[in-house]
Amino acid sequence: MFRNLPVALESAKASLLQIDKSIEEAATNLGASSLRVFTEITLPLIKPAIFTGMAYVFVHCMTAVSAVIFLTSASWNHMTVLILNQTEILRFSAAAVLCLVLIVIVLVAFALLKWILGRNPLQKEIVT
Amino acid sequence: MSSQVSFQNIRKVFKDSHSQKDVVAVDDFSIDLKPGELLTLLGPSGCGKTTVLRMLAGFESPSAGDIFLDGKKITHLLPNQRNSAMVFQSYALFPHMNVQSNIKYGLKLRKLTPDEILNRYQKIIDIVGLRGYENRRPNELSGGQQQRVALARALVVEPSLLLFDEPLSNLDAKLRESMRVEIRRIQTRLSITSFYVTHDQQEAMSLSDRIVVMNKGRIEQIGSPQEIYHAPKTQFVADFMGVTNFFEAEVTGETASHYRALTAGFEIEIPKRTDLESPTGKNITILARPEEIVLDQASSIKAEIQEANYLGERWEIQLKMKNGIKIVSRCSADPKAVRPTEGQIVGVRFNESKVTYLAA
Repeated sequence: MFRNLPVALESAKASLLQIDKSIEEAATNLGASSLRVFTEITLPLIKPAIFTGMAYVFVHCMTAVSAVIFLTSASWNHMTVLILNQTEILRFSAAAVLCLVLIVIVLVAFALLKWILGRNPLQKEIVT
Repeated sequence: MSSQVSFQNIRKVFKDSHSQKDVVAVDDFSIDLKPGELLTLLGPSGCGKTTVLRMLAGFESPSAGDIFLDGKKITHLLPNQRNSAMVFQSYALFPHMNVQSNIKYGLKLRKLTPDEILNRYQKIIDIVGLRGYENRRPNELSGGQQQRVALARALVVEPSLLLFDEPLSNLDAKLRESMRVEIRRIQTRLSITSFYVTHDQQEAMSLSDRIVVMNKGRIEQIGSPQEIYHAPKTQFVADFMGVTNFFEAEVTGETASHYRALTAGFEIEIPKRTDLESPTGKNITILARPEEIVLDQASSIKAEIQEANYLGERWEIQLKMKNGIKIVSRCSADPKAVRPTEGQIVGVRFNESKVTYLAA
């Protein structure tokens, strides 16, 4: 679910960005509080996008077969599976080290991506 | 419910997001609105007029100065705590609500009784002529109808102040004209103090009690439409109000009511202005609208036609005078008359009573 959450959030964000700022200002100007503007104006307008995102995540999670099944073999082990195995036999220190390695790999990958895209200012916002 | 508004030395500074430098959007802006008056802020794009309106609505806070509504300081009051209603350029109707819900939205927020809400709603729907459209969504309405819903939504809450942010700029020319008349009719009938922002001088002239011309964040001139049109106090105002011919002249004599000035090899008599100090030097700048310059073969002032454009009821003719000064004339197009041709030498006559001047 967490893996698919950004997709749902992005869809809601895109829908939010499409709302003309003056629509919310009009409601405020007529006397609505921030909470009322959000519940009565903003939320109904982004509702379709939120539900679409939620439906996507739900369907994806319900029908997913983990890639781990295909990657793990007798000679190769997946790092996340290894972490789980180490945790199950209560070797937390080994699990922690593996977690750290995993985090570093992810960070390096992100830094690399940011460096590549960062050279083009128009693409800067893609990696957040 | 008419209210009095007062701006005192308003200044607004924005930070440029790229250069991080301060950009002064509005400076030294002071003006009082009388109860029931419709005041228009007129100026080109980026002159700060919308910023002033947004500060009055509460969407922006002034960097310095104060705003008063009926003697009460509202400078930092939240937009929903000011009893003002705004008509937006994009109409800003709630797309998920029908016409009825859009109009009643402000009334429900005011916690009025259902009877009172219905009463006010029925009244306003007739004023704006939208009966029969109550169940339609904004996307099922034409631009003019959407504008009326926006106007009704603002009027129905009986605000003490009505704000218009270029509300007619998205409409076609014909609809704009009829909506202009309608806005003025409703505003006068309900006598609501109104603040109108536009860059269209015709719109400003036909709607306003007074006009404030703005340039680069500052007030250039305040006055009635007639004053602004006939007696501009700066070259910018003259230019913005359609004067296209400016040329230097030397004052050679004067009578009780006129100056005699020599320019481009001919003399012209122009009425003295009581609103300006008498020109200190001998030089003045003549301001002549294209409509006040006509072709007249009997005139001793000669010019060469450089370009002639047909505008329907009028010809717009670019002329070059003897000493190289270029002027524009807009004279009535008689269908039987010969078409002005480039290179032709013609006589030019100035409608002297309508020509005015500024100190050079």
